[in-house]
Formats: sequence, structure tokens, C-alpha cells
Amino acid sequence: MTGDERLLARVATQDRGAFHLLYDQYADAVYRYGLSILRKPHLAEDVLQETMMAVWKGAKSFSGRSKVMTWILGITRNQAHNILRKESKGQRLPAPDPTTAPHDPTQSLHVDLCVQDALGTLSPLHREVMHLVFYENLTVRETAALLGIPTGTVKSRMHHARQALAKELT
Amino acid sequence: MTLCQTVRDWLPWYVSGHLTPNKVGRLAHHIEHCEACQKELARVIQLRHQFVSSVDAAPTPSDRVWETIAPALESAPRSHIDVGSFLIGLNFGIAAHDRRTPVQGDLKVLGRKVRIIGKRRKGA
Repeated sequence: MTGDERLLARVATQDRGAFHLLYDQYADAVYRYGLSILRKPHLAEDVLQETMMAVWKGAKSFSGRSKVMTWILGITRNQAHNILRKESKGQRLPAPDPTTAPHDPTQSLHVDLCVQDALGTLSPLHREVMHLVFYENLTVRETAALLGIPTGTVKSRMHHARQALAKELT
Repeated sequence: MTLCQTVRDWLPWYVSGHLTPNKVGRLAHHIEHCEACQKELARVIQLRHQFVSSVDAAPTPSDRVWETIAPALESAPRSHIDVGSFLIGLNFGIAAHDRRTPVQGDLKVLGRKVRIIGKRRKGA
């Protein structure tokens, strides 16, 4: 059993201290994956909240067939798509909370605007696969399992995503 | 599919260290002799670096998310034990909480729950 699996097993017994540790460990990854899908910081924070509550309630259902990170990213994806569906049906208030928006000027200075702009032009599917492979370092199989697509599709989607991003950056 | 196409599909996982030793060997052998794939490898390395830098530069979640989650955990019992018989429809459950009444017991008769230890709060 890995350290992450032991931590999740403690969360399954409703150990709040363990859950706080797990939150600290995964919050950034969940938030950034949510942000890559939804592109809005306030919605990514909603995804983080919903995902972590789902982890708290569902830790017992972790079967160990995947890594803890991949399992949590799978929950993140479901929550992000739930929010997308509600957004498209107009069931959520679109007003963002201004205090959750990036406001630290020193942080904003470091953002590579060219890359940010280019990422904004990618299709959600391309942005998502690139995030999982380049940022989360998932294998082909892990990415395929998470997205529910064949491994061949992961490779071709990644190929097209690379081409699209490279084209925007040149 | 040509060898160039195959190798180029492997490149993202080569740079992240997820390619099998067999594929790494084939890729290295091919790239040694293929200038176009050498350029493509350099491009993938650069793209990955730009992508990771861009995501890292994004804001991190605010502390308010945890502050919203933490109180919601309090309503869940720390531990819960159920004993009873499914067949005759009787079930006794006891739960330990951090807040409210520390220990609560319920008798469930044919799916209907009756609190027998610990008072039920109004509106709970």
C-alpha cells in the first residue's frame, strides 16, 4: 500500500486530520484540472469543493485499481462536467466572486500571456488531454481510463493538441 | 503508419519518462538518424515546458474553499455502528459525533428511525 493509499484509508474511517492532509496534498491538482476544463477560477473552486466532499464521502469506495491521484482526478472530471451541464442549462448564477479572481500582481506578472492566449484557443478536449499528459504526467493507459477513451484516441488527440498549440505559438 | 508517425506519437510520454525501455531504444535509434523527428522532439520538450510553466503560473485556490468544507465535515459522525436483523426489520445504530450530542443511538423498525439515545435537535 502506498503512502497516498494509507492516507485515503484513514480518510475512509472519517479521520478529519487525514482528510486535511489529503486536501493540502491534492487541492492544487484538483483546482488546476478543474480550471483547465472550466477556464474560470470561481468555477474551479466549486469543482474543488465538490470533489473534496465526494472524496470525504466516497473514500471507502476506492478499490486500489488506479493511483489515488488518478481516482481523484476522475472525480474532479465528473464534478467539472456536472458544473458545465448546470452552466449550460443556466441553473447556476454566473456571477464570479471577485475575491477569488487572480489579483496578486506579482503572480500575474509571471503568467506567460502568449501561452495563456494560445491555450485559450485550444478545444476543451485538446486542453484536457494536454493537461493530463504534460502537467499530471499520466501514462497513455491512465489517461485513456480517466477520459473513458481507447489508448489510440489518447495518442491521436494528443498529436492534434500539440499541433494546434504549436501553430498558435508560432 | 510510418515509423516517423509512430515515434512522434510516443514523444510526449518519452519526455515524461513513461515509455517502456523497448520503445525508448527504438525511439533513440530512429531519432539518431531522422532530423525531422529530432526537431519534433525538441518542439515537444519546449511545448511541455511552456505548458507546465503556464499552468504553474495560474492562481491557487483560496483558503475559503477549505473554510467552507471543514464545517460540513462536522455534521458527519466520526464513527457509526449498526447491529440488527434485516429479516425481522429491526436495526440498532450508534454513532459518535464531535459536536452536538457526542453519542447518539437509533432504533430502526421497518425502515423508520427512532432516536433513543441523544436528543434530536429541532430541525435536524
